[in-house]
Amino acid sequence: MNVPAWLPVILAVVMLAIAAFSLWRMAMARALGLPVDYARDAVVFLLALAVSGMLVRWMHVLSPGIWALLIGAAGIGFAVRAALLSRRPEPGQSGAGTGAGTGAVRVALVAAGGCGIAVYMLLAGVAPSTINGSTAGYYAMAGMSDMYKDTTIAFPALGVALAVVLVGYAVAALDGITASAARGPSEGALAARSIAVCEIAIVVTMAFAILAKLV
Amino acid sequence: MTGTTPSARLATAPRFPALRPLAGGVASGRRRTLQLVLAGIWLLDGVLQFQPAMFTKNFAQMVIYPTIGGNPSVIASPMNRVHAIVLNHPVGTDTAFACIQVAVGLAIAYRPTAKLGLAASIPWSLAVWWFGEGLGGVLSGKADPLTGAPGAVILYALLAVLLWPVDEDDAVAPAPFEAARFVGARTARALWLVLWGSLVYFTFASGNDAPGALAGQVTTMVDGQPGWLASIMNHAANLTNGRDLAISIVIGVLLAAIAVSVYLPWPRARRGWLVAAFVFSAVIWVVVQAFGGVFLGMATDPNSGPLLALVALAYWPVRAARQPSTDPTTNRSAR
Repeated sequence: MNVPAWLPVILAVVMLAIAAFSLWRMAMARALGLPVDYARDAVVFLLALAVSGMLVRWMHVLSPGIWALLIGAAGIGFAVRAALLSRRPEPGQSGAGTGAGTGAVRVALVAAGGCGIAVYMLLAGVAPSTINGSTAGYYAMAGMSDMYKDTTIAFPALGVALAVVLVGYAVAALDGITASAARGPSEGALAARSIAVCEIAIVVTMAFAILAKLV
Repeated sequence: MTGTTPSARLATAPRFPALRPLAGGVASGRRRTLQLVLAGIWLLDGVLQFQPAMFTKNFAQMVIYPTIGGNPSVIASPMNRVHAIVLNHPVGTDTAFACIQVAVGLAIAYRPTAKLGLAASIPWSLAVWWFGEGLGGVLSGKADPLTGAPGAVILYALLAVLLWPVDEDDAVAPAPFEAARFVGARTARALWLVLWGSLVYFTFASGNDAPGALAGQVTTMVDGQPGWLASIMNHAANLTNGRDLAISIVIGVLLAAIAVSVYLPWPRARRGWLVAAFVFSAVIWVVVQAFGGVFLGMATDPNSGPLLALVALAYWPVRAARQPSTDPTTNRSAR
């Protein structure tokens, strides 16, 4: 089975817009000399592109193995960064206002976790549907109207658990965005919370991609 | 739980005057954490509603249709109409259902719209309880606490009321637990009694005391589950085999004790029974409800287990707050 074709297309376009936005943020921050966490924006750029490739064929530009290598390397980088920051906190790199937590360590850990989940998705085969034509609007299992369950789809328990983690992160981050808005001034589109919104959109889309099991 | 700061109030102030009654009062602390868990479950429900099978006619036939039978015609007739609409327009209706649930989850999680999200969740829950769950089988004789009675979705509405944001300055009395902050301790205890008391009734009315009934409840959910979960469920089914009456009595007594425990005068005993409620919810969620069937691609929600656990957490005693000031101008904010 697969979802209606327009749904992954819309989500893929949103992911591309997020990737473009993070590139624009990095360019503008460099031009204006604003303090932006380039690594965080870069991983948002990478994840957005990778997730769009899991949704639609026309964004399937790199093989899952290459994506897994790139994102896995980024995740390891963030994990190392978190370890270093936890040993030697740097007040100048405070992550307050990110929505994910109150410190740079938490931001780095969240980024590492997000990369880890993306690697799992790539290796577990979350990919654009191979079914020609949509099953939406039809009976997927004719003649079985008394059945409650559809055993043609089965998710790995780890995948479902990770989808729950992603959803949990999304609501916690959204709550954190409001709290950070009350703490201080923002810089419009270059504010930390704008990239936090992008991260929320990405993790919700990742949860969708796991549960929709687009294979 | 701390009160909202002036800056936080500013951040949660609505831009539109008409929405002012639905803004503010969203503080941090345990209550907000419970609200966020509820938001997470709503968001998960929304994402689950985007699963491929939900866009097929199977959703109407396999999820909605089985809940219609046995209900009085005044309940069943509108359900039949809704079923026909969903069956004939599966893509449009499912997209709407999913978007509404995602929006409710995100609205509760975002502080300026938390009240709006909770308010919207109540009529939506009631509508789904009726048209999607057939009132949880309460009137059709199918209600069984082990499989989700009185209907998981009605618990969302209950939680929206119990966890309604309360401005600390507007609190009229110290609350012994979070669920009492908005509705008051007496009403909250009555709601707990009704909820868990109804589960006692449904335990004996569901026919689970008949030979093989309990094992049957478990084994019907085993097919298609991951191996480790199927193994747990099969072991549980074997354990219950031949002991249906005894286990039903034990469950009934346990639920009755949980129902009245909120009236116990001893805090330690109340906490003990809340732990029992939490453990009961967790056990039925895993062993009978199979995590709501989320591994099978047709789950619309995680079923009643986590919601009953969340209700229990909302009744966990709050530590004694600051002593109320004797100054009448300041003692309200001390609560």
